[in-house]
Amino acid sequence: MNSIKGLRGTGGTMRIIRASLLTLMVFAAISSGFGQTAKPPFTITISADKPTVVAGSHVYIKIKLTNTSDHNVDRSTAYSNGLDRKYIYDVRDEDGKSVEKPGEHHELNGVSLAMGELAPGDSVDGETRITTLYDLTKPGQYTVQLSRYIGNDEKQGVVQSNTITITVLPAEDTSSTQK
Amino acid sequence: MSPKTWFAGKSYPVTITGTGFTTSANATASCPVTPVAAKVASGSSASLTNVTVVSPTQITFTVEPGASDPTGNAAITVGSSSNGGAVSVRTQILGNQIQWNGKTISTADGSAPPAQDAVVGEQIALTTTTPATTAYDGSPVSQVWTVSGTRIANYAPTTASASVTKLLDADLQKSNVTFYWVYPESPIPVTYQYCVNIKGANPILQCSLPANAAFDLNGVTSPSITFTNEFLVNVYNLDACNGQAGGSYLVYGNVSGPHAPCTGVGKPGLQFFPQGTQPGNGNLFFVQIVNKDRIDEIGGTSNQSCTTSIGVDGQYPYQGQLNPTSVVDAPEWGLSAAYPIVTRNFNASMYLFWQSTATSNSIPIPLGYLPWGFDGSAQLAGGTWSGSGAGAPIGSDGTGGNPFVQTQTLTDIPIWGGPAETECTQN
Repeated sequence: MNSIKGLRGTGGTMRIIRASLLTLMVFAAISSGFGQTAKPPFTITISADKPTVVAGSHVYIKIKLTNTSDHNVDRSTAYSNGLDRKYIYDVRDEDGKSVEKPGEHHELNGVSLAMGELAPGDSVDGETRITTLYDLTKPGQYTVQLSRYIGNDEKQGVVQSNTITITVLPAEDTSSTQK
Repeated sequence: MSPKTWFAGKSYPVTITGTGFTTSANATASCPVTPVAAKVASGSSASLTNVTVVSPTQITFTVEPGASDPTGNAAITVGSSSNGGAVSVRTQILGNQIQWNGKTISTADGSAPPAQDAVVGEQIALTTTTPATTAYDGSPVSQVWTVSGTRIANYAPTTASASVTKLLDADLQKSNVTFYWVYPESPIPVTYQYCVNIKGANPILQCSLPANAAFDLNGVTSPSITFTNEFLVNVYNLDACNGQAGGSYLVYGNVSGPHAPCTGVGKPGLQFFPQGTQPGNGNLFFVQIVNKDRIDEIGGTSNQSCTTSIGVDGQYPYQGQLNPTSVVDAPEWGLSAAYPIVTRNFNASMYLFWQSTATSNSIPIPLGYLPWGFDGSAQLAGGTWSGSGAGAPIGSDGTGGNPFVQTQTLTDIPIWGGPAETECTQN
């Protein structure tokens, strides 16, 4: 479920980050030198607040970040319109295509930056609204996976979350929607 | 016998009709006046007074069950084994008791009820022993609770929304009521009373004595948010990182290093520290509401205006943290050469919440908030950005005063429809 990957070159993901023009800091820089180790310093487990939603609804993803290392790790958040820009997002439709909304997203130029660290063994619950940046208005199934950089050196790679599926129903079909 | 149903604590004239009663005029040593006695459940009492054998076919008396008698059956026995045999008439006493967590907490005899300890946000589910309808004429005609203090039916905030469900009059007109108190107060009185039609009573509509209960409601003592302030708004050039280009940012704080999604260093504009002594096991946490955020960008060929809807900043709770030592905020805005003049006006309220973990189904309670904001501007001249501005808690007098505002009323409870959302328009 959680694994370390080198920096992924998915164009959509990279564009998102470039477009955001965000900045985030912590009081103490996370120590470097993890390299491509087999065991990630933290894990990311995501779940859908509502696995099934009606088209047009916002989709919130719950995030549990757990420090599995023997040192503090960064747990900063950097929100723009409900989207935590500390994470890299991979949101795809049934055909495997990214559903990132087109455009420069000037409205995401600002960020509420909250720095912090997570002690060894501790977890913190986060939440992010992916419909801020991804178009889930068409009925169907979408896969969602989040990643987070281990450190400032991209060679250290990222930790990936599990992948979840969100089902979007037509707006008029609310019979099986979880409220 | 009429009436056969009596409310606890109330007095009723009762008439028994039958045959073979011995009046005082007809009484003899071997055949005394027909005795009348009440037998009630253990712990109950029912005094009979003015017992009169009016005639061989009628006895009258006055009965008054104890005010705190529970609902239960009783028997009136007429006659005795030495007087030709006894006959019992089954009757019912309608008590009125408020119960909480499986025990009776009320009195109805005018004495002060024992105060029950509770905490703000604790679910208070009060029940009563609604009597069966067999002995009287149908279901309660009316019933009403009075619950003092600031109370609500529910408050279940999430990142997506938060609203207050008020306790309606209809909620207070049922046999059971469930609610939450928001603010500490002692004692807080609670009463319950119901009315039913009792066959044979005059008038037929009879109401119980009020059942009285009281609560001592405890909350976080001396809640507050203290803070440290970096004061200045300025422009910082942040480094490239993980394939992302660097850039200039208008920041409330003092930061350096790489930008998102990397980890940098620096001081935030504000650092918030929770204060207060919890009344028991629970969690203190923050929730920030963005009240206003306006950015105006002036360009050579076009301008851009961005405004932000009122909403929760990021997530609920702030940073997902329970019982944090502190939380911080360093709002930033990315600068673009296309808009060489930028101004920003920001206003937010950092709320301190508390939620009990000692009892199940507790709701979070806002304790108060620290209003804060900043004004800043950035200008690009000669290829170099310069910035100015300042931020602080609003109302901070600079002499150590803390403008923390303690929540006191229902309208002080923050509500929102989702995360604060910025929209930009070009003009």
